[in-house]
Amino acid sequence: MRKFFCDVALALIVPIGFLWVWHTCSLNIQNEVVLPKIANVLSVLSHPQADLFNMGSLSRNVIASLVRVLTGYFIAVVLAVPLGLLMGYSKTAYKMLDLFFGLFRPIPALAWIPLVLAWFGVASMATVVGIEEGEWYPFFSNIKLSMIFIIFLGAFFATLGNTVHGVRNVRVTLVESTKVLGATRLQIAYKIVLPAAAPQIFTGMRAGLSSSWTALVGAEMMPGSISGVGYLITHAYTVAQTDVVIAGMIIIAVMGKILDQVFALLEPKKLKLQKLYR
Amino acid sequence: MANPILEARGLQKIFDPNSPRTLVAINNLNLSVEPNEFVCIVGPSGCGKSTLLRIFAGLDAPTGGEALIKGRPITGPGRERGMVFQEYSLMPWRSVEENIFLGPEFSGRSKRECKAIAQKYINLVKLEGFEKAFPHELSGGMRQRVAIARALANDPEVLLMDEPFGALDSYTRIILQRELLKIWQANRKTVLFITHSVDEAVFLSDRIVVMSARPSRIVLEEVLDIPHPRTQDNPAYGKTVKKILDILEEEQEP
Repeated sequence: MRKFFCDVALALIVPIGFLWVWHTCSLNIQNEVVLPKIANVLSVLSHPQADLFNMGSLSRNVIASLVRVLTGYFIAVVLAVPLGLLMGYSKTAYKMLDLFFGLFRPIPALAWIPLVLAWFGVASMATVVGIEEGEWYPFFSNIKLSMIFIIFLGAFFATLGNTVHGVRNVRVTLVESTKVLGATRLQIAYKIVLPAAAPQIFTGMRAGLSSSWTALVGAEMMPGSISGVGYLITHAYTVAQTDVVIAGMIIIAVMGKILDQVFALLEPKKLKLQKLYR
Repeated sequence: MANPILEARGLQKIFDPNSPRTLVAINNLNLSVEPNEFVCIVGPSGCGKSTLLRIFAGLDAPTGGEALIKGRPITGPGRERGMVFQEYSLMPWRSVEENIFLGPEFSGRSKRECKAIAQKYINLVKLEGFEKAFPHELSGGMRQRVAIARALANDPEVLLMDEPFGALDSYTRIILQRELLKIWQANRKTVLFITHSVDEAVFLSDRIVVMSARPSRIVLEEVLDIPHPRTQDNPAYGKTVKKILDILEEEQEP
C-alpha cells in the first residue's frame, strides 16, 4: 500500500511541475491566445454540454469522433486480421503481398488526404445506407467516408503487420508436434497457429487502435468536417479560442488513454499464459 | 528375424544442394528397427541424428534412398509414429489434459472420450492432480512427462524421441529414464531414442547405434543384453559405456 502511494507520487511530480510552469507562464504572458490560464481550460472541460461558438458541445464532438474511430477501426480489423493470417500462414500469399503492403506502410495516413477527398468528397455513411433525411440523418452524415478511410489506413497496417509477424513466428516445434499427432492443415491453422499467434494479433489490434485515434484528428481537420474533436481544435483556432484548443487536446489524450486501457483490460487471460511459458 | 517396423535404406539427406552452403547431413545410411525394440542413437552433435529421426517422423523428406514404416515408404507424419521433442512443444494456452488429448481431439473423438484418454495417460506419467495446470506452472521434468503422455495418448506403434531429457537436470533425468523404461516394458512400443549421453543410451536401450560425424554413417551397432534394472556397478555397464565413448572420441578427431 505504501509502495502504491510512493509510485503515484513519483508519477505525479513531473505533471505537477509542468502545470506549475504553465500556470506561471500564463500569468506572466497575460495573453489568452498564446497561452490560456489553466482555469479557463478547466472551465471548458467542466461544461461538456455547453455549445462552443456554434461548433456544438464538447460531448457531442467527442461522441462524433468516437463513432468515426470505431467504425474505421472495425473495418480495418475485420480486413487486416484475416489477411494477416493468410499472409502469415501461406508462403505464397506472403511472397505475393508482403512487398505490396510494405510499400504502402510508410505512407502516413494523413498523406492520403488529398486523394481521399478527391475520391469520396463529402459522401458519408448516410449516402451508403441510403438515409437522406429523418432523425438518424445527422448521425450518419457525420461519418464521412473520407475520414473513415483515413482512420482505416491508420489501424490497418499496424494490425496487419503484427498479425503477419505473429503467425510467422509461431514456434516451429508447436506446429511440428501437432503434425506428428496427425492434425490436418486446417486443424493446425485453427487450433494451433491462431491461438499461438493470438497475443501478437492482440498487440497489433491495440497498436492499431492507438494509431487510428491519432489519424482521426488529422482526418477531422479536413475541409468539409463539421464535427469531432479535430474539427473543434481547428475551428477554435480560427476564432482564437486557445483554451478550447487545449481542452480538445486534453480530451484526445484522455480518450486515447482510456481506449487503450479498456483494450488492455479486455485481453483474455488465456493470452497472457504464453508470456509466462518460455 | 521379424519384419522391421522402421527401416532406412541407402538414406541420404543433403541440405541446400547446388549452393555453396550445401551440407551432406546423412549419406548412404542403412538401419532397421524391429517391433518392440528400444534403440538409442548416439553420435557427435550435428551428426544428423535428429535429421534421421525427423525423416522417420515424416517432418523432413530424404534426398535419396528410402525411409520405410512397416515396409511402406514414409511420405509424411502419421498417427502410428509419435514424437517427443526436446523442449517447448506444449501448447501454453492448453492445460495438461488439453495438451494430452490433442491427438484424440484431432481424430474427432468426443470431449468425454478425450478426457478419459487423457486421464489414463496422466496416471501413467504420474501427473495426477495437475490435470488443469498450465505448462508454465510445471517444472521441466513435468513438462516432458506431459509431452510423453501426449505422444502415447495417440496410441502410436513407434515412439520417436529427440533428446527428450536433454534439457533436464541429472536427477530428474534419471527418474524420467526409469519411468520411460517402465512405460515401455508395460506398453511394448517400439522406441527410437536420440541422445548425446552414452550413459543414458546404455541405461535404456536394447541396441545402441553409434553415428559418425557428418556425413553420417553408422560406425557401430551394439546389442545390449544387460538385464534391467541396469546399474553403474554392473561391470558390463561400465565396459559398454567405455567402448562407445572410445569410438565417439575417435570420431571427434579431425
